[in-house]
Amino acid sequence: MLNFKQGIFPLYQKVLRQESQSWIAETLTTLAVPLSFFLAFGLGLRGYISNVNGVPYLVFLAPGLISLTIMLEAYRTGAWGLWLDRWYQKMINEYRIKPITTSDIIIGEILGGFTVALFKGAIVTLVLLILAPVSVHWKYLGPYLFYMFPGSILFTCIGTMVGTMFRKPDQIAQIQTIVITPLLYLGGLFFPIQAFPASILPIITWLPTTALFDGGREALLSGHLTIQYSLILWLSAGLSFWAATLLFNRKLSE
Amino acid sequence: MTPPAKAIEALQITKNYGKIQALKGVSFTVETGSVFSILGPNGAGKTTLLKILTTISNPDTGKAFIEGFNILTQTLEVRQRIGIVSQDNHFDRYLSIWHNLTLHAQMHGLPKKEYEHRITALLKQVDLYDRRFSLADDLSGGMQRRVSLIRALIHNPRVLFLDEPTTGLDPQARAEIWEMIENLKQTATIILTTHYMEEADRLSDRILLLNQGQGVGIGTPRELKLALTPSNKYELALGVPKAKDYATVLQQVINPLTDVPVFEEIIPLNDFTLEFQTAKPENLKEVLRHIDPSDLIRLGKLEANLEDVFLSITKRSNAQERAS
Repeated sequence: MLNFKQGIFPLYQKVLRQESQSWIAETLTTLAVPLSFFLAFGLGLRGYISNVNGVPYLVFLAPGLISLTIMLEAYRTGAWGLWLDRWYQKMINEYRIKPITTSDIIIGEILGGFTVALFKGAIVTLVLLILAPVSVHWKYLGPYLFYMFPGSILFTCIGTMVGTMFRKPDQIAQIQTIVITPLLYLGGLFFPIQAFPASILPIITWLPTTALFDGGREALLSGHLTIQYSLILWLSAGLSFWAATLLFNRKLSE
Repeated sequence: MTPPAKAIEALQITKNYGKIQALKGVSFTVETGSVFSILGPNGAGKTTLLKILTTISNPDTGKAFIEGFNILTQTLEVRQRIGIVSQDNHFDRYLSIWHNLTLHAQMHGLPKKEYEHRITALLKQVDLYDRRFSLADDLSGGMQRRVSLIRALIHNPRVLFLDEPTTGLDPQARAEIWEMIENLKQTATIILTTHYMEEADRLSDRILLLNQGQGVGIGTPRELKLALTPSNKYELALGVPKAKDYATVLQQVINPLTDVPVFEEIIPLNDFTLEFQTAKPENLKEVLRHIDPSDLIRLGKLEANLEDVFLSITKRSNAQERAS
């Protein structure tokens, strides 16, 4: 049985506390990637790309950069958090001798990663609102978060699975390069997915990153949600949550 | 509620890692309120045994009970009653000492007021209250060890497992930890694994000798030492300044007398170890005949130390293992 007060909450709080220890460095790191993309693509290409799907390129790009931050931070917090606790600091060994279950531990870590990712997404949103001519209709925030919640859970869970399995830190970076980065570029972050050849478009539309970037953009700019994107994100979030918990429990019982 | 007489009962515990038999049917009991040490060379199975008793790992066969609770079926009850100081100082390096301790107190379900009060008291007790907001990396090895010990004590455990608690510490820090352990004897049953014989000898009520996954000896330090005390070894202390003269005289007396006695060493100059090949009482009598009683400070059988016991038993066990 899960124990929120004794197991999940203290570990959730621990993740947030760890992040807050070096918040200036964390904030700068968080802003570095989306702002680099914003400067390079948004400002650099502004003269060449005026409108995409009827909206200015900067406006087209901004929601994707927020989603990108959430995705990368979710993966990073999940993967490095678990790796640190399991392989480097060996704190998992300390948690396991407490009267809580391994499910409590992994759920606390996942919820922590999820929250950190959303918080960092909010920071990037604020900065982009200042830099880009994006006017957010606050009523569309709900639909956008409807995508971002499962997206954040999904990538935190992927991260925790990587952190649970791989003992060497360079393996975390390898997974990011081999799996996360291609997903990032294929998901319609920098250009509309309709630009892909018709032959691969059906595959692209079923990627969770497409739901996150393309769906997220549509939700934030027009408040529109699609059933397909909703299903992809919520189902993959649920599936990854189940897989991450199962994997963690199994690895720890070995 | 009166605690059960047996703090720990382990019955025929086995554990294999692939083809390696880490534990081969280890059984023992630990009385409540005692210090029980597990001694063994590297790879003897000490850590595996500790992992099983602390519910981190499951045995392949066998049972164990902590204060009557089954480690396999009543895991949470067992964990509520135990505290562990692991071999290395595991801390969250991103959190302060205070937050490391509060995290663990929360996981034991202590109310905030209670754990804050208790952590404050414990930190003050070990002179680390002023360092409560330091990161673990900013503390010395000895300080980190003390914090590890506090962490294991936050919830007032009934059974405390100490896995090589003084390894890597300087003599002063080691003495501090020993003092803490001695004080803890009054409130908890302590299970100690150590490489240091002196530590086991000083702190333990009973000792289990573990070798190649098997229990090869169990008893109080005195019982174990007596079992191996040779009947032909004597310790002789003489008054200064005549000791040197005696050395020459005794050497002359002993040589033709006994069955090639060994006149081991003189450290310091007035202490002798006499080792005869057989335990004939007349050998000693003959030696004493040449000593002025007024010069005799001390005479007694040379007691085996725990290291002798440990080496002898593990050697015998290894030989038996090879033979079988």
